[in-house]
Amino acid sequence: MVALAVMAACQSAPPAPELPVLPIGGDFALTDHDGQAFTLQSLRGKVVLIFFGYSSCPDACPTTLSKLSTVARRLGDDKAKLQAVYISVDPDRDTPPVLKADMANFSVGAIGLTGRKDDIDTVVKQYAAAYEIVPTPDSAAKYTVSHTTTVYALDAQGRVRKTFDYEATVDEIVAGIRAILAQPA
Amino acid sequence: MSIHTALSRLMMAVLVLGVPGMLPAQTPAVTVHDAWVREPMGGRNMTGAFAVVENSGTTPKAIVAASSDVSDKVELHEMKNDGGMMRMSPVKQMDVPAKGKLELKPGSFHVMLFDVKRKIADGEKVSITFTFDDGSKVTTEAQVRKAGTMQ
Repeated sequence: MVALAVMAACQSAPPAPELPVLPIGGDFALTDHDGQAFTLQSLRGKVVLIFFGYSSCPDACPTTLSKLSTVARRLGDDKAKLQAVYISVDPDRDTPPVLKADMANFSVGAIGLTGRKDDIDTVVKQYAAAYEIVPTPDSAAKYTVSHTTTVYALDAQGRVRKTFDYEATVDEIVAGIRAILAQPA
Repeated sequence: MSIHTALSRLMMAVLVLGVPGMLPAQTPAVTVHDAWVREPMGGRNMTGAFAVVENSGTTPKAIVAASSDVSDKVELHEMKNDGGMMRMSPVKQMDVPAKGKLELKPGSFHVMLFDVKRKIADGEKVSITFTFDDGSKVTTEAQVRKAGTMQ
């Protein structure tokens, strides 16, 4: 018993448990918030956080962007190994300049992506996300977009290794990113 | 009994028994407390307002409208996390049960302020007025709070 306790105490941090590669995701090409062609491949070598939203989203998207900004700060030097990617599911309103202005409000430094609806829909399907345009003619919003709020965490090879739901805390996301960074290449 | 005594007795009676309309206002059945408005996030000119609405009466009430000094487009909304799908929709009314309360909070029923007229920041107060289905109104001061991240 004592021996076990001593052994346990002597062990350095256990190796990070191996994370499964989730059967969703994949590469895609869209347009970034500077109007340039973007490919996911261009981010190889980084842990990439992908999520879907729209810039007139009143609550869920800014909450997530604020939370990821805190996550990035908490990562310290590892922040350089992280890139957040925000894919608009409202391309009619979210032109590159609109997205750029929105992204500038959050220190996480996310790349805002938009594109043709068909191309966005393909990516939504790849990541098993979902959205729905809901007309609200009586509201000042005109329409709202219901959408999933999952954040997908990709490893340096672009494979989805973890997902975080809306309730995930900063601590959980930071720990998840560190676990991905600790995976053998 | 002098006229004077009779008058004072009458006055006493009025004081003790009261007359309709002279009674001190009864505690209203509906009260609103802990109201707050989220500081608009990320340069947006819209935001949510939240509060606890209590109904001490025996009749159910419903909020049917709201207004504010910082927005002319105030709406009642509900946000729902529907199996991971975040849905936000305007609603016609928000029920406050008899002898119960309704909590307006993020991720649930709330008040949306669109086209906020000026920059409102953490620490400020704004006014929110709720209109109920019986026509009564309750105005409350809501504290502006920064509440972006969930930690």
